[in-house]
Amino acid sequence: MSIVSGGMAGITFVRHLSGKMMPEKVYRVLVVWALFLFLWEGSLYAGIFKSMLLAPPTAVLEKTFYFLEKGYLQINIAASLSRFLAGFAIAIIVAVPSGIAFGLSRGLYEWLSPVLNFIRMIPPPAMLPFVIILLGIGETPAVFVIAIGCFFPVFMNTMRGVREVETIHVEVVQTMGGGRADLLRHVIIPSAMPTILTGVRIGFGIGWLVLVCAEVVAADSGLGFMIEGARLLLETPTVFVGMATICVLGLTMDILLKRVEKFFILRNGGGYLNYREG
Amino acid sequence: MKIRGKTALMTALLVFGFLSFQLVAAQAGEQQYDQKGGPVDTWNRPLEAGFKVGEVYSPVRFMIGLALGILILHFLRSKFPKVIPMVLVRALTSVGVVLIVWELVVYTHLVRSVLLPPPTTVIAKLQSLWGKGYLQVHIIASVQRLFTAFLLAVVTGIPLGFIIANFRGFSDYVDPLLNLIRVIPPPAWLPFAILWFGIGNPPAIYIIWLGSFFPILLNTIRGIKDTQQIHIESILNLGGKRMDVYRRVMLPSAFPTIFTGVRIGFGIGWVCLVTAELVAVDAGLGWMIEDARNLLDTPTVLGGMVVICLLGILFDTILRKTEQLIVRW
Repeated sequence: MSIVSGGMAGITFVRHLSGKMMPEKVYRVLVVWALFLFLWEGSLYAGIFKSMLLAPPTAVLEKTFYFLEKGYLQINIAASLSRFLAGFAIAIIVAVPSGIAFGLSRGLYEWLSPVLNFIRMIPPPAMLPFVIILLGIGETPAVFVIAIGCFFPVFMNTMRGVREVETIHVEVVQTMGGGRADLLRHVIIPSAMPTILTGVRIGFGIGWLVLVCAEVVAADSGLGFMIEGARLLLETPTVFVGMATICVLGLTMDILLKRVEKFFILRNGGGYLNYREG
Repeated sequence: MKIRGKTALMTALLVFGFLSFQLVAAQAGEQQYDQKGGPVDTWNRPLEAGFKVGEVYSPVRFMIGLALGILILHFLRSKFPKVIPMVLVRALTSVGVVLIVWELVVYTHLVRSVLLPPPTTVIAKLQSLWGKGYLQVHIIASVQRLFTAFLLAVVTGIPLGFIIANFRGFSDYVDPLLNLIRVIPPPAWLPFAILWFGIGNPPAIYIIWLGSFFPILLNTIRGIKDTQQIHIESILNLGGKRMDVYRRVMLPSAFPTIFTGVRIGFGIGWVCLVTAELVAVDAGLGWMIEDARNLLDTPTVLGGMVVICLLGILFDTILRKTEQLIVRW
């Protein structure tokens, strides 16, 4: 209680002191979050909600530090991240080449896309029971399902990106005597890159969702397992700690991916512009 | 005027469809409960766990039949190329070949039929589940849940997006909170949803609503913010009021984007539905496959997946057709 009201007072104070130092936007965000925390803590303090159903922020904070000290949180973060990154990496490694192949070859696309469309329409969590039967409880089914969740957005976007390559660019390289490898390296991949990266970001979002789902259902470690286990013990603060960690990790990775996307697009776009000007 | 009539019509249709569906679902639900209000055994769990391979349908006949069907299809196509579209031929062929290979792999004992039941067993299982009314109950439970949450998301997402896009003072203070909630994946809410609402429909509806709400909201905001300034100004110049701007410029120009959001939201809602049903309810297709997994009843697991897949395709097609119907400008 006091922490939160103190924080609010602090923000207002900083605002008054700094004047132009703190941008209006940051100030607003901080105020809204502080107000939210204040109402949350206050409603529990006043007994409007049961603290069993809605843990106060102070308790959540306390629990977070406790877990960090014990190393419990770190273990679960490591488990979730390694699982997720494995699935994500497998998906990208498989999806990009096959997407390029499907984008380039009309026959492949026309004959195989009906089957793929069927598989695409099955939500990844619905595959979970089946995958558990096939592969057992533990790492493999989770990684598999995450990979499936990430695969289709990356695959579809790669295919679209490759198909939307401008014919004139392809023809230019062919006229200059470039082979298939040159075409792939200098035209198709660079021009499909923005679309592929968009697919990677969408795939990341879906994979992250599937990760939590898989861990709630079919794992014995990780953040999803942590919150589900805490629910069974009615340890509401721990559930909040897990959710907040999932949220922060997801945000961080999304920001990283955005950076990567920007880097690639700037590099390619810059190269393209320089080429045109020169 | 045109848009208003169409929107009213669509809304009326949606509400009518929803209500009649609820009615049918309620009746079907009633039939399935006995006097004491407990679920009748026959739908709560299928009596026999599975079939043996080839018990109901002959695998050999199935494979030969499919192969013949594909050949006949190609023959017909070569005779009447204008009647049968090539897309159909290709789709049926590739799906048929996959089914044949799947059946063959199990038939030749390359894969154990406990782990991967062949299509014939899955079909037989689905038939038996349908015959007992078990499948219908779960389909209705899932669809009812999905529709309720999805309509809720549309009804809350579009107006809120409209307000956020139009009133800066409001959005400045609401955005930070919404962004905070948006980045938490809906399944992470599951433990809380169960804590707050108990087991049953409400937590599932909450999760599905969360999943489909944000795409709808974000696309509404983007669509309305992308409205061309010149259109707004020309309406204002011609003496239009604020309401005219909202109704005649913003909504029509944002509509395609909003509808894309609705479709994305539906897709994510569908994923969340299955997730929620794996954990938090006691009926529905997700629950059916999870329950069947616990019994190692693989044919039901696969059958459930097939039904989920087909329903997803059906709903997606309906949404796409609706979009084409409404978005003509």
